[in-house]
Amino acid sequence: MSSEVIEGVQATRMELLALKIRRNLAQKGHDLLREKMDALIMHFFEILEDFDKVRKSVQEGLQEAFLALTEAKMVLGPMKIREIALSAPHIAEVSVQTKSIMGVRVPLLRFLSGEKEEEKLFYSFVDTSVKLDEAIERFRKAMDQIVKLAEVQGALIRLAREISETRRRVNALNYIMIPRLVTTINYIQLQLSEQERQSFTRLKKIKAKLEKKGKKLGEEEIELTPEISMVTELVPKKEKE
Amino acid sequence: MPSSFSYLISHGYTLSKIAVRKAKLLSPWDLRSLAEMRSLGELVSFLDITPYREELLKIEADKLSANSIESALSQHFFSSVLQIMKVSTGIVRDFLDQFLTKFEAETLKAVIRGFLSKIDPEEVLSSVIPVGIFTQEVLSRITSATSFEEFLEVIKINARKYYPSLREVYKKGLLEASEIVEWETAIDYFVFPILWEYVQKLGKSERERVSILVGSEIDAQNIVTIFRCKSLGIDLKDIKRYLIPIYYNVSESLLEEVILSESLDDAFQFLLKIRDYVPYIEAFRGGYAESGSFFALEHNLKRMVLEKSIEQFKLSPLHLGMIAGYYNLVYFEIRNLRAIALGIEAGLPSDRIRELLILPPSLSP
Repeated sequence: MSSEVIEGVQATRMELLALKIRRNLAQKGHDLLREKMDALIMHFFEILEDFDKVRKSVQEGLQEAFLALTEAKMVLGPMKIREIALSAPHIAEVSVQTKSIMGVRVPLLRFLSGEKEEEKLFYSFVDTSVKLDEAIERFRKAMDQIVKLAEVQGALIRLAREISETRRRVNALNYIMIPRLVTTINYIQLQLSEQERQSFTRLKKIKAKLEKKGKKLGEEEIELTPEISMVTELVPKKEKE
Repeated sequence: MPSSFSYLISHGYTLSKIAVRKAKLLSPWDLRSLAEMRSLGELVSFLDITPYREELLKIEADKLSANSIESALSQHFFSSVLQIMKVSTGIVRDFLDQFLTKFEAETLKAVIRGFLSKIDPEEVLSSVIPVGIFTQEVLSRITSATSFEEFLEVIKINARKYYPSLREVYKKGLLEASEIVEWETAIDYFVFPILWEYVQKLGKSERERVSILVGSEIDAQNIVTIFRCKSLGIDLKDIKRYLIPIYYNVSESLLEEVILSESLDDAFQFLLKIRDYVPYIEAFRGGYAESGSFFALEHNLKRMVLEKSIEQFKLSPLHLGMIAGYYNLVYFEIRNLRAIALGIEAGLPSDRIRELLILPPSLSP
């Protein structure tokens, strides 16, 4: 824990006031960031739960899709499937948008393919099979899930990065900034009270000297210079305090 | 129909060859037990005592895979048709020539697909098997074309019968890979009517028996296409253009009613009007609720074609129907062996493999 006094700080009342304002601001910032971090962690775990579900559905979807592909190969023959696959249109069209979670921009992905009719049919019905339609459909669904997984994973990565960043800031405020401000404030307060004590003692001494001098002169009237007047005013006040 | 005697004189040799080959086909029980095998090596060892031996022996041990087995089986199929064509004459030869058109069309589709998708010609050539007029040399010439004009020119010279249909699609400017379906549909629109027309020109008895096979295959194709289109969400008005314009047991109006039917039940009601197909439609109807897939319908209708092919051998053997039936049986056998090989390679349980085999009803799972 670092609690060094801020370098180059002047032990003045103005500085003390400014530091107190900074400390309050840092405390508020710390509280806000702490809340933000808690909210981000909450979202992170919500999305993490989704991630597990989506990952499981991707695994199942791909298993089903590959099984359907094997069956399509069994019905039509691997050569026919290969030939159709080689000429299949490029289907990986994904729309990318973003949404904000606690100020963090996370990706919002959508698999667009298969929505246009011409993309659905790239082989004739003669010499092909229902199994082929089913395999393609399953792969499209699996692709949809893969894109969803990418979206969730992207959100998790960004949230994790933001949580780590926020935690760093919270820790910096909590363990460095605020203690340093507090230490500096304490230091200035100490310095100021020390200065006050010193000046009080000095004034007391001056007063005592003046009084001594006054006794020596007897009834002689002492001319009250402005300094002497101030000391006589201040000393009794400080004594009361 | 010519008299049985003259028929025997003209085609006796071919028909007896077919009868012998039919006897060598694997039994459905063999196919069921092959699905139990756990390695491709075991499968190939079993096939070593079948007519596929010669082609399978060409596969190098370290290159044994479902793909290489499929390729060997397909080569066997086409060389078997060519062997019979060589020893046959007249109507049998003509029929086999027409029969091969279906497979030529598949090869042509693969080549066009590769051309539209700008796939490397070597890659295209490695994934097609030369058949009929599409010999290795012709395929090399077609795939090495650098422009559509050149491509069509090569087709015009080497496969003239397909040229007019392809030129029509070309004129429409459908030159993107995504428009392949238009090219394929154009080829189907050409091939099936030609085959049907040929069958209709046969003598009465031959026509009836070959029509059963070709007609029911086309009907099955059209019925399945309608359901596939519906499940893919294709516009009702567009469905008809994907159908083969041949109507055997299922009339055009009935197909339209099926297309326009609002529910699956309504569609079934229409299809149940075709007495011949009732058992297959009913069998599918029962399983659809559970599976939610139209595959069972496709599977059942293919099984129907298999059964009709088997039936050809129960009738008079001196018939073109027997040849057509035999080649359908070989086609299904190869399809089943391919499914078994892939199933074994993928490590699927035998029950799952058997579900995809096209076997007579008594042996279907």
